[in-house]
Amino acid sequence: MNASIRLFNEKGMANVRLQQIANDIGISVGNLAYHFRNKEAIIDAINEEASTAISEILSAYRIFPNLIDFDNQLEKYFQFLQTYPFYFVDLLELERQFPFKKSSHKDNISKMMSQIHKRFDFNQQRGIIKPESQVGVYKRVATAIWVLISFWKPQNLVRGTLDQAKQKRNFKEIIWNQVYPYLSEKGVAEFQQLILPILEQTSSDNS
Amino acid sequence: MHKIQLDSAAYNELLNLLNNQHFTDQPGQESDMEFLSDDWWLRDTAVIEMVIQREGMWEIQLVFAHYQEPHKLIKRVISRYTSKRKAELSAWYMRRLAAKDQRGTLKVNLDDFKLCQS
Repeated sequence: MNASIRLFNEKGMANVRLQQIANDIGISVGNLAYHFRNKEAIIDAINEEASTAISEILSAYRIFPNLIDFDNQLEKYFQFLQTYPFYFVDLLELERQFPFKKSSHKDNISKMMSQIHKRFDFNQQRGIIKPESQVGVYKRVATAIWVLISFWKPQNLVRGTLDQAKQKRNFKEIIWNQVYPYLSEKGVAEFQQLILPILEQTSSDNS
Repeated sequence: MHKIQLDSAAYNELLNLLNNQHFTDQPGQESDMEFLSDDWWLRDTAVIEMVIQREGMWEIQLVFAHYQEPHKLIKRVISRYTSKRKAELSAWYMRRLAAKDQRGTLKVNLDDFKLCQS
């Protein structure tokens, strides 16, 4: 499975054959086919694994009653994107090959967006986020944040300009920049106290 | 395991509940748990045995009620028997054993409370 994930990430799902996976792990195609009938079976198993990982990320909602909660979830999303970049990169291809998986993908995407939107509601109630200037603004910002989370990895792969150490900070900063303009005075103070030190620490990390 | 899928409206409602919990839930006080150690009042309680039918068995429950403030009471499930006679006999002994007032002068009328049996 790990070898398949790596090959899918490197070459794209469509370009990997069963023979290449077998060669990579040093076994015969027949042996590999004994465990996984074909490439679709491998993709299906990896997809299950990725969906479980997404569910675990989604369960990390409102564990802390402050902005750290979202930063922790962003950290998990980043790790997920590092492990399964093809999950969003090859989303359409995945859905074409496994139409029956489409609903679970859509369900996860809908939950991701709902959570981001509800974070705005929650922090607005806490006085951390300014009241909505226009009905529906925060829903649209939540959608924009979801787009950034989901498609940050493809743009990063296409541009390929950042080294590993700076990727996480870039990922988090781009997303926090969407939230920052909507923070109240109290929110800015909390951001500076809780999130800025984490971001600074992230850039000095070599992980 | 069968997967349960929530529609978007139900999921949003769950998130709302989680959000609201932050504003409605209050941290517990140590005094909230004092009733566990504060059991001196049990010295002045009448013990009443109850045998009720539950899930095809006869269940013995003991009710400890303060003889001056009968609404101050606790109910404890003791055990279950398949035979009603055996349960009634055991309940009688259990009451005698549990009652601090062995002579049985502390009396409370159980029917006054209209206790819920569930």
